[in-house]
Amino acid sequence: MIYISKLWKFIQGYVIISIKGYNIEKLINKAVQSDIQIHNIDKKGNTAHITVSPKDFKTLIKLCRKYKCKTKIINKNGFYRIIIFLKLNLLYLAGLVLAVFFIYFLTQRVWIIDITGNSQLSKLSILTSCSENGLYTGCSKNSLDCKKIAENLKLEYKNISWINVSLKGATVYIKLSEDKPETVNTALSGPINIVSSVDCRIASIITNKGTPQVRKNDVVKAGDVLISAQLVPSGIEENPVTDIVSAKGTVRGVVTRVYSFTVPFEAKEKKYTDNTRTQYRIKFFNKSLTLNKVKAFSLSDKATDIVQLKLGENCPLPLFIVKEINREYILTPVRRDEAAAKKIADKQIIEHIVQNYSTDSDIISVKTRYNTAKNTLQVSSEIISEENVGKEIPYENSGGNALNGTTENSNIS
Amino acid sequence: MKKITEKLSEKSQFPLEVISSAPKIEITGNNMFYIENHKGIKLLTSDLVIIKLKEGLFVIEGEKISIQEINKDHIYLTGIFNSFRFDKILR
Repeated sequence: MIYISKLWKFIQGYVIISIKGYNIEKLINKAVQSDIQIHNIDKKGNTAHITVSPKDFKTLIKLCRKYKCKTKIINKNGFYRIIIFLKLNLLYLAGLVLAVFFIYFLTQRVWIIDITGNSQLSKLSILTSCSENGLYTGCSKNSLDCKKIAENLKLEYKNISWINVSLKGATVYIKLSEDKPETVNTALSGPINIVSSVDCRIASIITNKGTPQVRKNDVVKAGDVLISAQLVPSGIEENPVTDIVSAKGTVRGVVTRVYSFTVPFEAKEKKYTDNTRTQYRIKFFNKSLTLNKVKAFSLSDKATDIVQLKLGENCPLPLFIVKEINREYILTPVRRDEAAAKKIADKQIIEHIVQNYSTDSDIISVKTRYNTAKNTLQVSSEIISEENVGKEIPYENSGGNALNGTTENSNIS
Repeated sequence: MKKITEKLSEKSQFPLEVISSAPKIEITGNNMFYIENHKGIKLLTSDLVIIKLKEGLFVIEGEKISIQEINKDHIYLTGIFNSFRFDKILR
């Protein structure tokens, strides 16, 4: 009840006045008898702060004079004040109305179409089909029939086994699952051999299908057959099978590679100055409006921060605030000593290993040699790793037989 | 007159404050005070409030006392109240 009366007082408006005198109690009693609406009376010493409605303000001032009290307006507030402000600032009012209308308009549209679960169907083709069914970015939410769109998509794409189209806020979620296609490996449909992909020393060989052609510690070259597709009878079988199959197995080999490069002693390094320039842009769909023009540095790095405006979690608006921070740098020539150059070289070797070696590779050892030349540090790194060296190739194309120590073609024609 | 209203209240089972001008006081916790059928304020400070009633005075002692609402019928006070008592009119 108190909150309702407070709200009513706000709508009516109120004036907070300070009254100073010695007959404040009598003044309050007289004001109450005269039906003057006063509230929030806070008295300290001979001064009281009283809140009064605007219509009773003049009457109270007259009473104050009668009781020889000094008055001072402290604050005026309320809904009527806002109305007066808006009356005086018509442009502000128009802007406010426009902003409300704009937000209402934006919330009545679909701004994001989120497609999940598609692996064979491209998002573009689904979006094209959706636009034919009346669902596109910026379309009205009211005319949207999610059920019909789901049915039409299912009819159009035969490999969709399940589909759900739902609308939440300004986002349409399309969740679907597809029938798994029958994978036919046309390239390697016939019998296959497993050959070595690199020159290496065999570390281990596990044969699931086919005949192993190498043993542990054998040294093989790239292209040598490791597991042959041809089954060779060992002589102890009752019914020896001589067949050609698709070889399967895991062959791991110890591979030695050399990585060489140079690190110059004289180089130019980035040094950031304290100068930064920030540019703000408002992006609406593909169009962007630059809020402040900023001169670009001759050398700078740019960091971009994009914030999408949202009305709640499920109601993103197609409005983005883009903040670009340009940090100026200068290139300063530096002379590295040998230790610093070695440090850079070690970092480069690690980066090379991370980028070029697969996760199933085990790095056994890294031996690095440094040679100091006139202006450069020459680095040669020998990286020994254990990795899968088997490569499947068609049986007809396979090369020599490592076990027999030949490199002749082992195909049987 | 007082006796008549009291007797009427007893006979009709109407609450006394409805048919007479006897003050009705409502206290919520130690920080809200509500009184109906008052006759005005005798003294108002942040520590002491004396309210005039038909029967005499009602003295409220406390801290940071302020009048939230006042009209002919009721007074609504807030603050931290320590004691309440009825007093005779001092003339």
